[in-house]
Amino acid sequence: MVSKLVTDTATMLEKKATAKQTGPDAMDYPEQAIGEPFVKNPKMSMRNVDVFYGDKQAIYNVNVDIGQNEVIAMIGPSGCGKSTFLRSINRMNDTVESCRVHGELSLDGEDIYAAKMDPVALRARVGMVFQKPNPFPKSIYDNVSYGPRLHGLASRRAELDEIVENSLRRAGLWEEVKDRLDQPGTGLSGGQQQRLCIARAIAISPEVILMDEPCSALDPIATAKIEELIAELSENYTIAIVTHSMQQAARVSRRTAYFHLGHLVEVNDTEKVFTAPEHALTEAYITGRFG
Amino acid sequence: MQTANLVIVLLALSAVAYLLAHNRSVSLSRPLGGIRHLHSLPFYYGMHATIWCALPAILLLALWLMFDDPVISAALLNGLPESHQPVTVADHNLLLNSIENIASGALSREGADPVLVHAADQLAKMRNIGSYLATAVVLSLGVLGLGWGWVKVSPQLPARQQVEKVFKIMLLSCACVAIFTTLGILLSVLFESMRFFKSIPVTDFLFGTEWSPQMAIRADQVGSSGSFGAIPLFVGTLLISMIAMLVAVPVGLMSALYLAEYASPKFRGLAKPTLEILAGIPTVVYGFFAALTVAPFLRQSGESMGLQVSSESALAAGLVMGVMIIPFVSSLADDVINAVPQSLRDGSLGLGATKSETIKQVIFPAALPGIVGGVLLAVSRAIGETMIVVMAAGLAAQLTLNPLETVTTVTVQIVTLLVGDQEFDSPKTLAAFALGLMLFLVTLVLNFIALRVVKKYREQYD
Ligand SMILES: Nc1ncnc2c1ncn2[C@@H]1O[C@H](COP(=O)(O)OP(=O)(O)OP(=O)(O)O)[C@@H](O)[C@H]1O
Ligand SMILES: [Mg+2]
Repeated sequence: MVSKLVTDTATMLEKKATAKQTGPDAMDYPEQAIGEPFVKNPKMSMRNVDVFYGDKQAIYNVNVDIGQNEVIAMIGPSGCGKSTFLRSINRMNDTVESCRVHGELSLDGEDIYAAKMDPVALRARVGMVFQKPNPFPKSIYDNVSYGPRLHGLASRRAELDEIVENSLRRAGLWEEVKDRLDQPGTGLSGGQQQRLCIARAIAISPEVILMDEPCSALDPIATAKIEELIAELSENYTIAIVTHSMQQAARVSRRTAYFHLGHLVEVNDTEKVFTAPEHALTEAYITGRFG
Repeated sequence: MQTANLVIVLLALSAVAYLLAHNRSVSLSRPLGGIRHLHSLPFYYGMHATIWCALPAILLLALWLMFDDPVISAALLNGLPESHQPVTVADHNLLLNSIENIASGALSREGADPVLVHAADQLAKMRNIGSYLATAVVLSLGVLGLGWGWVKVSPQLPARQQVEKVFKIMLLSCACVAIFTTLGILLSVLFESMRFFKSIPVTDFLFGTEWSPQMAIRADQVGSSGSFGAIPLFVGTLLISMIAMLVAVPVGLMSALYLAEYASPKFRGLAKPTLEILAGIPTVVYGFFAALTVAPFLRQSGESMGLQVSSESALAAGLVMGVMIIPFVSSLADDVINAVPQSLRDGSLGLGATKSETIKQVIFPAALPGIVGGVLLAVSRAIGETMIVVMAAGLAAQLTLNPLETVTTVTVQIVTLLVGDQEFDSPKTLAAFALGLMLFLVTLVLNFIALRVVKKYREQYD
């Protein structure tokens, strides 16, 4: 098995070396992500997505669907474009001056990048938890109630209190902060801050939640809580989660997508990806040869 | 030798010291197997010798220059016969002056008191000897230091630590200079104010509502006593500063927000320097803009509305001062807003907030401490501004809150009190120091409040 891998990688690298002279690395990557990138009746679908930062291309022709109430995991070596792809899905990349997104991306069949699509409304439907915790310099309470207030989700204070408590409970933070809701969110530990950001994101009940490495700063107990939350949320919500922990991907997701240097290489049922990957690059990554 | 030449020679000597010690350390290290066997790098050995060569010599030179004249004059006076010994301080200075003048040839030797002529010769001789002596002593100290620094070079010498220590002391003494200067200014103002308060009671100054600092020349003159009530001045200052801030804070903040959050890079690159040019215009120019354009305009439009507007008004001065301060506020606020991390913006936008909601609820609160600091800086600028007020608001000290009337400010009065040749002993001139002291205290309190505000928000947000 291992020796097969070594020879596979070696031939691959050779191919790459020859490919360089003929054309850009078209040889290494499948034309189309192998496996099952498409589903019936998708919540979101992405076709021919290219993303550029200035002249530099970060995502190459990605085609993939995200199903209704599905948890999809995105894995891949650092710098392969997972965050970039995720940020294209809710138009967070609009805030990056140099960034351009091409292709057809849609939510419930509506074109996300259409002129009449309001990015603000879109982001209320497609929420995001960022890679680095970014609590506002406000109290814990105000952090969580920020979104509900913006969108008028509570008409009375008691309702707002309920939303805040509920969100904090689901993010597994309530017990730790219930006595100090008026203290600044920035005073929490890194892991607590990340859970606060998760609570903040689920407080507005988005239809799709994008999570960019939500557990990278958490201990195993908090991680388990978040994973529980993801399982619970997936009954009603659609979730895309970027993670570097393959165990986590295996535990929480139904399908897994493997990215490599801006290309979507393989999308398959999670179990299949981790037990019988189809592409050599995927296999090399999950057996610990890159990344 | 002249002092300047002496210093140049000393500098050259210390350069030599650097080279010699540097090279000696390198050659000492060679048999040991390279400079990593030395305690410090050759640079530090060089600096070590330089310090030994230059520092004591320069200190000695400074001391010499300080005590040179007093010692020589004391010796001169001692040599004078009993009949010529001065009695009063004024006598003493006069005597030394005439000796000095004879020595320099400004006063003719013919017909002068032979005793003084003799003293003048003595003076020239002593100066000459003193100069030679100084050169000799200072230079030999320099050479001695050089030698010492050279001899001390050894692989064990902790040159690096010693050089660092000297630098630390030098930095400390620079910091002390700043502190002691401030302290000195404060003390001198305080001292002069005490003299003022001896003739005018403090309560009259603080709570008096009339300001007309005329002192009678003759005791029986009409209006013989001036009144020194500072309230009209402080009210005037407050009024004008307030008008200025009402203009500068909103306009400055909004333009900063636009520049930082909305403007395209191209527009920003154009607008920011333009705005900063406003800060470079001399205040006199603002002054005549206020006096020649704004004040008449206000008067005309006031009259057309049936309002009584005096030709010099607090409003004109305040408005123009506000325009002058806009770039301070906007430039500082722009920096602070730009320093708010992008991740906070992303967090807010990611929750479906619009740009203006993000600015109002996240960016502005996060930037507030810095903005408060900038605004308070602008306030102290407004309080200290003199030129525009002189030209546009007038000199008449009226106690009024009506911005259409002419008022005056503390700084303007300080200037008018001190303009021209004055003896610093009448209450009129001393009043300037009392005003200065008050101004200092007000700014101190303002800064204190500013620091407290900023600190409070810091604690809350970090
Ligand atoms: N704002 C930006 N400007 C220019 N290039 C960028 C920007 N953000 C990301 N990139 C580039 O795009 C590529 C993909 O970056 P991205 O952050 O999406 O990687 P990632 O897969 O999320 O990596 P990680 O696992 O380390 O988070 C990288 O080569 C990165 O250098
Ligand atoms: Mg990332």
